[in-house]
Amino acid sequence: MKKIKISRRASLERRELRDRLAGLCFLLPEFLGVMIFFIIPFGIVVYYSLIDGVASREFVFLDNFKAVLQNSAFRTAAKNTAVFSAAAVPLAVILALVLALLLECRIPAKSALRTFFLSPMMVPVASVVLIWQVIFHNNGVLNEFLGVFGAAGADWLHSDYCQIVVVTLFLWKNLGYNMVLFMAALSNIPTELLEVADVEGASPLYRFFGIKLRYLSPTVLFVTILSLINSFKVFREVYLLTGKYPYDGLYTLQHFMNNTFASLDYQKLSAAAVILAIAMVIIIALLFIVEDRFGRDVEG
Amino acid sequence: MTQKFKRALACAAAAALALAALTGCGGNSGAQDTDNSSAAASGVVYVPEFTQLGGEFSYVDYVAASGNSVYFTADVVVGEESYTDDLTGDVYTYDATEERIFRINMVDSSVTQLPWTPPEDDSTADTEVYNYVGALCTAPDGSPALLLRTYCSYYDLPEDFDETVDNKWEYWSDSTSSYSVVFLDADGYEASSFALDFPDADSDDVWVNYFALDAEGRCYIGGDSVYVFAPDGSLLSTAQADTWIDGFAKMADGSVRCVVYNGGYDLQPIDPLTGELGEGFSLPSSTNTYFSGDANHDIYYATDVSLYGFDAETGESTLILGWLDAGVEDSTNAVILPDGRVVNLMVDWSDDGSRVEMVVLTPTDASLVQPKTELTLACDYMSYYARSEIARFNRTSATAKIVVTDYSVYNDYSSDETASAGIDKLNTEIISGNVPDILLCSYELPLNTYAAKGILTDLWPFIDADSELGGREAFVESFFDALADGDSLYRVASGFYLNTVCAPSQLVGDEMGWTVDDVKAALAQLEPDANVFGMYYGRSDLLYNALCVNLGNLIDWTTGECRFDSEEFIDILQFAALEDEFDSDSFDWETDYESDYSRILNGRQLCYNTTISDFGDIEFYKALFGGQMTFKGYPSLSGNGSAFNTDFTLSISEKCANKDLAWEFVRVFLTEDYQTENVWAFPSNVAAFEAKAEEAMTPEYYTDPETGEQVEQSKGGWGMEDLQVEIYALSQDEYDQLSALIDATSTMYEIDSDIMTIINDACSAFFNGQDTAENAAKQVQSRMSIYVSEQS
Repeated sequence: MKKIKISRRASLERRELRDRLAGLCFLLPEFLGVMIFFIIPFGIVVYYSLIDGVASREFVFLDNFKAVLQNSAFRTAAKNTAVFSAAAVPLAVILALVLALLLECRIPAKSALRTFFLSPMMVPVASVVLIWQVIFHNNGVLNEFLGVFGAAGADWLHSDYCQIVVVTLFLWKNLGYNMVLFMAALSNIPTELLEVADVEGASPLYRFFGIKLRYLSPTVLFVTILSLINSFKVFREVYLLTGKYPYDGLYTLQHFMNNTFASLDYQKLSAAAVILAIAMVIIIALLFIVEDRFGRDVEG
Repeated sequence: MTQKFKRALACAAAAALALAALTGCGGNSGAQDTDNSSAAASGVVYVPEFTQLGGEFSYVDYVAASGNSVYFTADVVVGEESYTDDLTGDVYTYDATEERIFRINMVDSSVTQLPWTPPEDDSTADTEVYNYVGALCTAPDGSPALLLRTYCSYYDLPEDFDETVDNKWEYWSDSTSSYSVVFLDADGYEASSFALDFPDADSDDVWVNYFALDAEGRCYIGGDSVYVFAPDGSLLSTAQADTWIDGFAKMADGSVRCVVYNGGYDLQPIDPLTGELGEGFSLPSSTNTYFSGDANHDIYYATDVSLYGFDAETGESTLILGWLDAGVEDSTNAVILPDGRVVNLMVDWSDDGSRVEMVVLTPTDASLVQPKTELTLACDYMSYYARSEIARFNRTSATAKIVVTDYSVYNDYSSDETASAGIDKLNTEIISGNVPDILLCSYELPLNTYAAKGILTDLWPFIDADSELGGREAFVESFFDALADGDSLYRVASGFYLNTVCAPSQLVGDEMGWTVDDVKAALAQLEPDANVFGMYYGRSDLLYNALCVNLGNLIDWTTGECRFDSEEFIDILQFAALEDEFDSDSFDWETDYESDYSRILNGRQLCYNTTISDFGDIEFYKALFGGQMTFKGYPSLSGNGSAFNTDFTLSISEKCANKDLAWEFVRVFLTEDYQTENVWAFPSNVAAFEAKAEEAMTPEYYTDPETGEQVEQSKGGWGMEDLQVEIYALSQDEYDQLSALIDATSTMYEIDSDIMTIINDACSAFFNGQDTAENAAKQVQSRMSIYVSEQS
């Protein structure tokens, strides 16, 4: 009997090992891909940020980082990026949530409204840029419209109003998708809890903050991170609208990195990229901590 | 399905996905990826042997090869003719030449003139007949065949026509061309011939340039159309191409294809019986010439730097050899022998064309050839003189050779994004560590960026140590100071010219340089509708040129500061605003155009924007303004408003392992000998500069036949529309004026396109009248500050 047991255990262990090896083999192509296209290039970027140039390749430790942090163009770009993200991302989350809550109510044309908010995602970038140019140009539609009411127009893309334009563009493009994510999350909240809360006499505010928001906390984290990532992607439209060197307020980290790439300044580019990566890791870690504390009791 | 089968299927799917991801890697695009002329990876190198051919002929025209024979046409002297100069009455004699065919025996390199001669020109008093070879090729049996063109000019001469005083060309009435194909035998005598009859066209109006024979002996004649003739001379078919016919290419299988040019060379098959042109294949866009195919390749083609074999089916190119590698600067007269040798006949055009050199490139096992140190040279454009010097260096240096990569072959001019693909590729290679030893730059390479990144080496120590050159003092100081970047010199140039503005001295004074207020004051003295420059010179041009010459005053790259909110820049904006934008689409050149000279004479134009590249130019511009002219330049608060420009510069990279060898090549362009022979602008070498100045100041004379006195004659003349000026010897005052201009100029004529984009964008509201110059300047300052701090 013992022998049979031992042989059965050995057989089970062998099978487990085989399964693990098979699993590793299936993972290998993906792992290699991640290594080649993400890990190794990131390592190269870190290496470039620590040498003085392609000619001599001398190790200079943190000199490039110091130079970047002291560079006024980088500081301007970082400030603009932070201001834009700080304004646009919370607005994208809050407004999307509000829209999702509105569409959750029994209102007419709910489906049409959902399509309406989602449709900006389908518009090609070139069309978006063209439309925005027509609207916000110094001689554009908006200024003409304001002129009808006697208001003075503004050079929207070449003045301090430029951030408003870009935030509007960002919200217009991304609200729909965030809203759909919230709508899906809202539909997953256990209705029994809400009914119990109703029965117990909970106020709408308590039902929202005490139940719904807690259940939405993972989605809020996800939408926040997604919006943060999308806030960097708005560089595409801004670049097409205003070029490599836009008005001060529109000059972001992506402009800085795009331009330093074009001028072969890979040390500055790499150092800026590493600084940005560290900042993003910190921000996302903080978001995870907050979400963990807030939504701990509703997650498993 | 069993577990094992499922696992196997899953493995196969995973492998297929992994392989699919790799399909994007590498691969051959069908065209050559590089024009790099380093030794072929096949282990074969082409060893050159140069032979000076005899001087009894000149001006090699057509070349063909078969077996061990190379045939070519050239001119031989058959007598002497004379002509009398109408002005001076002097009689000049010159050699009368005729065309002949020669054969080179490639076994012993002997050159023989074939006995065949063109038919006698049956010219009469009122008819001139001229027979000459229009094309040359070889027949299937290897003997030469040629296309003979008979050109007749007819004149209606009056009865009292006297050829000693009258000009026959004033009575010309008509010209016709007729053609025949002539086959020679192995000894060079005419074996047979037939006249070409073009039944579907007026034969007198047919003009054909191209001639080829296929393996069956059919003749292909090409010009505006393609005509195919049977070996007996009967017309088989006619073909029309949709676009420009460039010639014929003989394929490896003996068939002949029609080469049409449609942005690149397309080789279309011809059905000899129907004349139908089929779907062909294209040669790479960098192709210059093409050669017959053989057993190894369907066709051969040459670029500026290399020879390739081409496989029509796969579209693959195989690098055969690099011309410049082998010391060959010109491949126009190249032929490929069946044994793989490449023969090229190079004519020295600096002479009377009588120096002809044959180079035979023999494929040799690379292991048997003494290796040379390779110096890599990257360029965005290969000038003729640079090619010559590279070829000469490779031919004469026993220890080193220069391997050229011309990055302009990667440019695709069909769109703005791909028009500078070559520069992008070079930048990518530099950043990956593949830095070329020498950079030969025209306009496109961002040398300032390379210098700032430490990629280029300072050339001052090389110049200072080069006693043969004479150190720094041997070069035009102001030009080299303008080329320098602070205390370092990262680029050198063999010649320069000056971008400046000429204005009438009586209005603007004799001193160089002025401000916008000065311009306005001068304009106020002219007609109310007067422009600063010509009527086709708009605001963009003013702004661009003014910025090019003043940028050095507006940006301090060492401190990272810029002054675009200064009065100087505001002045530039106001200067540009003096003119409207020129709309070439709505401008009627037939009715509205008025020449600059006419406008200057009539007080409707103040200045003339120009490039001074020769000592004699000053005489023209003085004549343009009635005899008194000042080089005012563009308005500027500092400097003289003029700038240097140059055709190309040379730099050596910091990573170059053989800087001394690289300097051996670069220094050639700075020598007096080179600049005296090859620089058509102002030489940067002081000795060459002064020699050119002395030549310009030395008058030339002729003897007046009536008085017998020595009369100064012009050195040449040039002009524009209604002003023609004869250039005479430069006076001392004129030389001093030019020297003062050169000495006072301190900047290079160059500007980054990003800077122009920023300024144009930020100032568009001002130029549209919707903003002030001060606000526009503030915007520019703000955005340029970011630009400058990015670069620092």
